[in-house]
Amino acid sequence: MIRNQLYSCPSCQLSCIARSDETILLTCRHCGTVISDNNAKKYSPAPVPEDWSFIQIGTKGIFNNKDFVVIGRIRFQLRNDYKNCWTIIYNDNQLGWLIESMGSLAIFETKTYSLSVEHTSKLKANVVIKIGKDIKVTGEYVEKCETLSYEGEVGPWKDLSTGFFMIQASSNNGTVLMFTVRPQQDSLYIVGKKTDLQQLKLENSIEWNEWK
Amino acid sequence: MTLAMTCPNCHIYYRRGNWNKDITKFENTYPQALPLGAKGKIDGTVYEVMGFLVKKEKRYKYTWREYMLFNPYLGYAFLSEYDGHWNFIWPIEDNPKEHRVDNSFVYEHETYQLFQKYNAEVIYANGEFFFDVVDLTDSTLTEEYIAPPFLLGREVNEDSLLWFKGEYITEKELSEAFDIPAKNFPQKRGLGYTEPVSTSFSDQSLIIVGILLCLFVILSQLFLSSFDKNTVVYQDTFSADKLTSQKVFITPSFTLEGSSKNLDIETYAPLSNDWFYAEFTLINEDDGTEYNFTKEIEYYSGYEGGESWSEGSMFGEALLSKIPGGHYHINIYPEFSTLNHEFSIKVTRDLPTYTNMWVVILCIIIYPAVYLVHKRYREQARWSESDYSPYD
Repeated sequence: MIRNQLYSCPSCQLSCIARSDETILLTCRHCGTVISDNNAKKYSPAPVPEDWSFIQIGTKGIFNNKDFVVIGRIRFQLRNDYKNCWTIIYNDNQLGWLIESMGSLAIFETKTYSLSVEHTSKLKANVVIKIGKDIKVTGEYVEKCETLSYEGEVGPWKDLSTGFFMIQASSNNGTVLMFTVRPQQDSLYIVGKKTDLQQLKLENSIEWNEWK
Repeated sequence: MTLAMTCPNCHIYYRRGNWNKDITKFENTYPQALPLGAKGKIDGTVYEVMGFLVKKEKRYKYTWREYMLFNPYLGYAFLSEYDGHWNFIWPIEDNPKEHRVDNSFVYEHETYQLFQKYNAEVIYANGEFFFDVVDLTDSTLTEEYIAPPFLLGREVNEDSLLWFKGEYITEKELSEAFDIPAKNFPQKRGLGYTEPVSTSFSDQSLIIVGILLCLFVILSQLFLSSFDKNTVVYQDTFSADKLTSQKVFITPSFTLEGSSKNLDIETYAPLSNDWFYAEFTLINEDDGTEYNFTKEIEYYSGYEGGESWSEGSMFGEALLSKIPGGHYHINIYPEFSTLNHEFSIKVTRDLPTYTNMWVVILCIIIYPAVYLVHKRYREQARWSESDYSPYD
């Protein structure tokens, strides 16, 4: 999509603006319809369920001394977990991912890498594999994605269909890799860092007053 | 978010995911100390009780209880209870095994030792769960490492590797956190496997403080002893043939200088398989005060079975404390054997003594010694339920 261009919702004609050239789709803030440059019909999102995430579109934070704001998310429902992959836009208009689940937080770059199928087959929980020359990671979990849904402005996630396996692997220095794996195929992965609430200094998050 | 839950009416456990609609029925129900929906503040964070589990270890068949807690900012955590002992447990992002050597490793400055490995099954569940606790528990191998009051757990199955950390929490803390009377909790039995020995100091600091105190006492004693004059005020040898008809030796008068100080009377008799006995009276000539004491000396020796032996001593010593200054003499009433016919005495004023120092050092040592013995006993009791006890 094109930054700052107006897109009309095909259902209700509401004008929506993309904030980044990397954005691949928007959902209409009025009716939730998917708006995309490409064939919007290929995206068939389930409505985002109410969950206990304290992050919302408009939440602000700081990572690596750069301000960011949350502009959208993809929510992956896994078999024994879920992942909210929040699209964030930094103050220099770069996009990133804030991936959150059950109090676990990590910030990823949007750049996607590929891993050959023979390396992919070694990716398992509790197995150490070497990526490139000097990254050694331990598989933490393998979860099949059953449903996905999105809202707001979604960054460049490469595989927006269900049925893949999401594999998280990390090294002891906090580097974390998130793989999307399909049998007999090269896998895709993004690279990020584990972080926590204090470091991100989040503002405009949801206040769960009954938990205070 | 809830992927499995139980029916409050018929108590079946069912999964909500489209990929698995299996139902699990439990044979028994179990009482729970913390009701579903109860909220409590632990370490400044409010958690709500979402689910209750009873788990059974597959090999040794013991059971324990777990309460699944939830906070929207920090995710889920657990309260685990066994024999009335509670641990608060939460998932961590680290992989502490990186530092592992054999069955122990150092993590965050604590040395953790393997306490148990187990497979478990869920025999009862109540409430709602963010993952399929029944299937996951059944397929997971758990290792638990302890450094009381902390524990680290490692849960591994085909699809996931999860580390969690735990800390012992007292009934009182739990009672205050959830505003539930402690009498409602299961009764405590024995020592909890992460229950700390309740002190606010480490073994190392206790030993260091003990050594420093002992050094202080020794140095103080040496310093104070440097002021002791250690003066011989009288000495003489007495022979039986000079004994008067009153059977008494009366020493010449001697002077003790200064205020109240100790007085040491050393007796020597040249004995060989013999004994010597005497009654002594130290008399203050200025005010007539008498100090009476006796001394018996025995010394025997021989050669038997190819080895020489001896017992007793030819010396005897009497230490009188707080003897005021003044003019004194000693009346000595000796009893000689048929062999020995002489003895000698040496009277020393203001002799350095170390008895008090040793008493103080003993007092200093007693507490750490008793504490360390008690601690070792408790640690052995703690590890008696482990297959990996360092005390075996």
